[in-house]
Amino acid sequence: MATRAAMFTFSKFRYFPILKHRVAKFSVSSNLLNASALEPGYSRDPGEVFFKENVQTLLERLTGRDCDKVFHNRKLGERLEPPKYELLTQAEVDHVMAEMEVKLKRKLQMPPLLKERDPIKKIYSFNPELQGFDDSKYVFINISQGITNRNREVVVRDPNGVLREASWEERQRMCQIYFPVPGRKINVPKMFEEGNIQNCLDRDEFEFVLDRACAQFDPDDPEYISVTRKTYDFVDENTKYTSLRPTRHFGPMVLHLVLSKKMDNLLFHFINTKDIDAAANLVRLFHTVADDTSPTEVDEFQLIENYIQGPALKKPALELAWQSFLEIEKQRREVHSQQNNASN
Amino acid sequence: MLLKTEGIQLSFARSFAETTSDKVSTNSNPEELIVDEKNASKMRNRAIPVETSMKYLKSKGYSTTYGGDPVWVRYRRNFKGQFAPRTRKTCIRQDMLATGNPCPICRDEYLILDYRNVELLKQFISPFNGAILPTEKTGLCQTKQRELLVAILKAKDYGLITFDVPIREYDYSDYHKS
Repeated sequence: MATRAAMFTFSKFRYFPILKHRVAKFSVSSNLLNASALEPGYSRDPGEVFFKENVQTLLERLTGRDCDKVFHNRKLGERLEPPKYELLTQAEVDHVMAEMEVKLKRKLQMPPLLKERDPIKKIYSFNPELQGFDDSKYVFINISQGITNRNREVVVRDPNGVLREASWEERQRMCQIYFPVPGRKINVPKMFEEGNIQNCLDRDEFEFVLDRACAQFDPDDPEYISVTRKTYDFVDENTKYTSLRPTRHFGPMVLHLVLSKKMDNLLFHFINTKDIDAAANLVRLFHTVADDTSPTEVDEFQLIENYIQGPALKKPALELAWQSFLEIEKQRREVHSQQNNASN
Repeated sequence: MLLKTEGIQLSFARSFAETTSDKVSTNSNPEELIVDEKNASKMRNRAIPVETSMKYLKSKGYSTTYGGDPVWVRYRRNFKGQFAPRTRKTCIRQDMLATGNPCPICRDEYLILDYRNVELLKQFISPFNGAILPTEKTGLCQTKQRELLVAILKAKDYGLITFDVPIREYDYSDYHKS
């Protein structure tokens, strides 16, 4: 305790009393479902899987890189300027392209898929002699520069004399006041309540919902997990993958579907759109997630075939789609070879 | 609104004078006001529900009046000189239009600025950079501009109007202790 007190005296800190009627808002969770990460059938802890290198590369390959979509004009209320045209040498062009690669990577950085965080329960001390010092609690935050908001000390003195670490909601609110994250509101927007999310999803505004959830919540926030899962499941049920495909949210969505064993719709979609690379990558991802193995088959067709015969859940539909794709492939090859013979 | 046409034309102010015959003939409905025909169209005391406004925006009357343009396009302000001053504080005083050239929203009583009336709100958002158009362009009076700002803010809060959210960047080391 003495060391911690010393730490606080050296660094700046500020406090302000929070009115009692607002205390309720911090402790009561929202009306969204608080499902744990493993409840709807996640086979593994997503936090373990998401950050692995091979998983990241597979997800990046699945997302692709549609530069037109990623670098689309964003309407941010700024004064518009006409486009600039420059004459560059090849070396300068290469330099600019390298810069664009970095920007692309930043724009396509995937929001982490994590399990729900545990509530903070740490109590520093209990001083019953301080009971009733005020009718509201005091919240203290360490506003020194050089620490991330995750590690920032936020401490609460309750009117009953308990000195404890602030809960996640209190932390987020205080950090947002002193170190605001752009796009984040102090009070949770009404868009994230039950009826209003559904309204947005029905209008196909998936990217908007997900972007806003990323800005508003941390990735291990129960509300964030609930909102993103709802969106991913809606997109999956209605097979509207194309709108999310070139965005940063496609990777986490695919991982969510693989972990909750719902990847067959997506595989069906890839086969129907003849995107065999993506289908093969999806199957490889499945094997990596399921038992950390990378499959030995080099041939992509064989890989997909084995998956459909083996672990697939929607076998009839997938087999039908696969057979029709193989026939079309065969016909295409025949026509191609005939053309080659004709030209020779 | 009850238009009193009793032989002689009563002036607006005189209409409020209570006579014994008034007390006998007035209805129990408190909303009905006694005005003369000239000022009937200037009354703005009716509270029109948002749903009516949303229906009006899809109606034939609206499309013939405004064409396909936003409601502020065909409005012209009256002022001396080249540069328009600030728009007036309000067009409506004491439930009546207090000006001969009211702003685009006040002049049409079926245009209600509400967070649910997204079709109307979007007409005041620039299609090029997503900013809310200033009164220099639209000609709205100051009270209506404030109502518009509140309605747009609320609509964005409810997710009825979409916009480009600032990109959130993550430091993976915060979430993955390797």
